[in-house]
Amino acid sequence: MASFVLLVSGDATGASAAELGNRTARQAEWVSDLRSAGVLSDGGRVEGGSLRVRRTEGRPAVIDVPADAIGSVRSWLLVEAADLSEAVAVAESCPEAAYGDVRILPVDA
Amino acid sequence: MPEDLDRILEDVFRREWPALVGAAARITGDLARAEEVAQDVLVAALDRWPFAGVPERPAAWLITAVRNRARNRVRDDARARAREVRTAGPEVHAVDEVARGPIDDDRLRLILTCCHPVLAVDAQIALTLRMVGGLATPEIARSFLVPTSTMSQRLVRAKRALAAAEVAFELPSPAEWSVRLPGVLTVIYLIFNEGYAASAGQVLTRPALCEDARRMAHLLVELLPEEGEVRGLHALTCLLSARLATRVDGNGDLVLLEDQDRSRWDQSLLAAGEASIESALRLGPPGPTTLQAMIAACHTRAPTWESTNWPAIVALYDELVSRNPSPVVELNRAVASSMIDLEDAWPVIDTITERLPNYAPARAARADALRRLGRHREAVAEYERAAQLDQNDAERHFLLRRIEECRALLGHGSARRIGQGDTAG
Repeated sequence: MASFVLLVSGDATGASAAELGNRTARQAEWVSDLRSAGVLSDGGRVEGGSLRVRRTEGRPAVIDVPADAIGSVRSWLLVEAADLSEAVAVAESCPEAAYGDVRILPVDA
Repeated sequence: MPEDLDRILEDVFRREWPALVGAAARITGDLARAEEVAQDVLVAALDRWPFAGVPERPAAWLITAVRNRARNRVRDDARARAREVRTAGPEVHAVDEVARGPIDDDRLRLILTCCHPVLAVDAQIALTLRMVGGLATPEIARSFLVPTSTMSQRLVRAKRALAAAEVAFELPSPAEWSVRLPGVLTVIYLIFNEGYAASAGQVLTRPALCEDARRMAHLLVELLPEEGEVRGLHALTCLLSARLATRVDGNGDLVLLEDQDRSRWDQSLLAAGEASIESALRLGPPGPTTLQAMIAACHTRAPTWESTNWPAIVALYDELVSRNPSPVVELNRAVASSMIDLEDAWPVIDTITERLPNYAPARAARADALRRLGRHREAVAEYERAAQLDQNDAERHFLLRRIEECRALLGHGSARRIGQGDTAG
């Protein structure tokens, strides 16, 4: 077994209220299925206001993350899968992937 | 996890939307920021609930989140402003402290703000569908056959116009009330009507729009239970919606009331409509909207077209004409009375339609009277004029069918299809 971090990005700003309700339900069903299949280790929402920090010439510098990079990540999941292709299948089954994308990071956990 | 979670959450989000925008607007004082706050909170729910679980009381969760976020937003904006223009002084409004009246409700404030007379009716309709109905901009654009960018602009301008006119997010004074409420009813009815008989485009009906309008009429009944005309509007939208599915056949063609399959009318909507008429009448003498609902009820109560109580309908139109004199209402009255005595009603139809030269339904009504009088040659000419004016493909298709029928009766055959040139067929 290997571990993967999934980062779910996507746009939800232009959707109707009813559509957002529908998307919430589908995403909840997806997470619930992953959980009962023992695939999901952990996960949650990414709060807004992500920052990027780096040290330049020994001094830390905090850089606001532009919305088109990590700032558009809305939720994260830690999943257990046999290999990368299985992790890809999990990512593909994410309902929110239809409105953005899912990034897969193979990690040690 | 319940099987129908998507339907449940769809309903919760849609139902709570106006309360969320309203609660946010009470705090931010403007619709543009209120809309953003409400939208952000629904997206936060979309990202959080799948992991944390759907709250036991989702509506309460949403409203609390909206209030917190709106307060933060006002605070952040005030800080940003204070940083930028230190000379301007603090401008933090204590909007939360606004005095509450007896029937005060954020949703009611919201509806009245969206239907504010400083806005053009187009803008009122768009804003109401977005802010009260919770529709997405592209959906509204599709309903009114304009590009999304056009509708977006219309919404932005409407929000700016409200801000520029310094329209406060509050209820009108009692003196203003009698003017403002009919405006709201008109906007909801126009939305319904666009769904019931689309003014243009390929399809005759847009049932989703009818449902949105009916839902908003129902919300108004909850907010203003003592207003007879609000009940009347709810009744009207229910009774007409009950017939919606039978107005169009399998090919998308218009089916006239006289040809509709009455066994397929929605019984629960009919019952809801009748109940609303009853409660409207208990509240006082019927206003114009209630009278229209009562006319609709005369049709839905009749087991067959032949058994329609035309004298009752004419009497209701008489009442309506006396309240709301307009050539369109007079024409409808004349058409109803032509069902009792065509020869007698014809001169009236003839005169009124002359006053409505560019109104397609009037031309069609005149053509129909001519057809029934056996004056087929004149009927053809009149149907052609109606078809030229009508922007809706399904209606136009129906008119062209009538032209064919009249031509066949004239013995011309159907080889020449006049009026076909300017339609898609």
